[in-house]
Amino acid sequence: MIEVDQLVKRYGSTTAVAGLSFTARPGRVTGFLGPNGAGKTTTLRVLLGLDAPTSGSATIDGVPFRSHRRGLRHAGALLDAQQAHPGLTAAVHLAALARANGLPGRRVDEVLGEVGLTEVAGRRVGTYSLGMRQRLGVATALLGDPPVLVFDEPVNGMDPEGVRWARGLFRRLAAEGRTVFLSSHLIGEMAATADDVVVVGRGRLLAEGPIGDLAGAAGSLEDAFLELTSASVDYRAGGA
Amino acid sequence: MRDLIAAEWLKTRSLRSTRWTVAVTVLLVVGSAAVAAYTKSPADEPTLNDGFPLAGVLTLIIVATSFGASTMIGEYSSGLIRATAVAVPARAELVLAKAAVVATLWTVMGAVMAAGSFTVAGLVLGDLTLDRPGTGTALLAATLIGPACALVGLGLAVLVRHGGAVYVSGILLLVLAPQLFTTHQDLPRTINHAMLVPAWQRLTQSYGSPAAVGDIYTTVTQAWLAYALWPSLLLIAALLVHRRRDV
Repeated sequence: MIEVDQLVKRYGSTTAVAGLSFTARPGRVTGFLGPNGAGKTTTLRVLLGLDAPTSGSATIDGVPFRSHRRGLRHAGALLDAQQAHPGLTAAVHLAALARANGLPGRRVDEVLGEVGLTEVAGRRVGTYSLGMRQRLGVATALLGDPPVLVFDEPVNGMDPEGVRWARGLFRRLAAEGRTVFLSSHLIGEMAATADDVVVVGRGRLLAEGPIGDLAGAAGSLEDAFLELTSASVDYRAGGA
Repeated sequence: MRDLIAAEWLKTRSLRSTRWTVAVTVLLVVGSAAVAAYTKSPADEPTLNDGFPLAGVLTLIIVATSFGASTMIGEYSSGLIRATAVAVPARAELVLAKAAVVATLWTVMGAVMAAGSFTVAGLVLGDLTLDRPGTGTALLAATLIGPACALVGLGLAVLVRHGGAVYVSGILLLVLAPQLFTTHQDLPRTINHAMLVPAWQRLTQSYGSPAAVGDIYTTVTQAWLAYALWPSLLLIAALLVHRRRDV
C-alpha cells in the first residue's frame, strides 16, 4: 500500500508538489498520470526516500522508506533507465544489490530470466539499448520480491513486444497481491494496464479512482485526461 | 554492514578501470623509485628518501584521490545512485562501506608500493637497510598516504558531486596548495605543516629532531595528525551532508 498525505516538496522557490494526497492499493495496478512538470517523478522520489518531503508524508506500508536500513524487500523501483554503472555487467550490478540486501544469489538468475536478459547478463550495461536498460531496471525492482513496486515510465524505449511483455508482467504482479504503481505519459498503454488512476497537475491531485469511472464520464481515458489537465499544462505547442 | 562492504567490493573489483589503475599505479610508483635510484649521483650517500621520491608520491596522491572520488562520482554520473539509494536507504552506512573498501584496497596497494620502492632503491644503491632509525616510520607513512588521499577524494566527491570539480579541487588541495604556503613565515608555515605532502615529507624524507632538520618540516606528531585529520574530517562532513541531502 502506498499512502501519500498532504505531500509538499519545494526546491528553492519552485513548488514541485503542492499538497498531494492519494492511495495506491495492493492487488491493483495504479496508473499515475499528469502532464510534464506535474510533480510525478518528484512524488516517486520522495516516496522512495531519495528526496526529503518539505511537509506532509509519503509512506509504503505505513512507513517512510528512509526508515529502512535496506530497501529491496520492502519496495522495488525503476525510476530511470539510467540507473546502472555502464562499466559493470548486468549480472554484477544485480549481484551487488542482492548482496547489499542479504538476498540469495539465485535471485539474480531468477530476475534475469524473468526480464529476458539471461543471454546478455555478462555484457557491460554501457553496451545495452534503452529497452534493455529498462528491462534491467525492472529486474532491479523485482530483485527483493517486494510487496510494492514503483515504475516511472517503464515502457519508454521498449519495442512493441517489450511493451506487451511489461503489460503482462504488471498485471501478474498485481494479481499476486502486490501494489503496482506506474507512471506514464502513454494514456493508451495506461488504459490497457491500470485498474485505478491518480491524475495530477501542477503538483495537485486532479482525479483519483477506478479507470472505468474516469474514462466513462468523458468517453475515453484520453479525453478525460485532457479535460482534467487543460488548466495545468505548462508547455503547449502553437501558442494556445 | 559486512554484506554492504562485500557489495561495494564486488562493484569496485569488477570494473576494468580498477585493475588498470592498480597495475599502472604500482608500476609507476615503484618505477619512479628505480629511476630516482639509477639517476642518483654515485658520489652521494644513499639516504632514506631515495626509496620514496617525490615524483612517485605525487602520482600516487593524484591517482588515489581520483580513485576515492570516482567510487562516488561513478554513482552520481551513471544514475546508479538512484538504484543504490532504494536498495540502501541507510546512507551513512553506504558511505562508510565505500570508505572501508577504498581504504583497505589502498592500504594493501600502499604496502606493496612502499615495500617495492624501498627494495628496488636498496637493490640499486645498496645500503638501505631496515635497521636505520626512521625506516619503519617511513614505510608506514608511504603505505598510508594512499588510503588517506583516497578517503579525502571520497569525502570531496560526496560534498561536491561533480566529477571535474572534485578531481581539480582534490589536486589543488593536496598537491598544489602546499606550494603556495612558504615555510619562511609563521602563518603560511603553520598552514603548510597541516598539509599532507609536507607531512609525508617529514615522515619519509628526513631523519632526526625538528631542531636537526630545521623548521621547514613539521614534527612527527603533527605529521601523523595531518594523516589522521584530513580523511576523517572530510568523511565526517560527507556523512553529515549525505544523510540530509536529496540524491
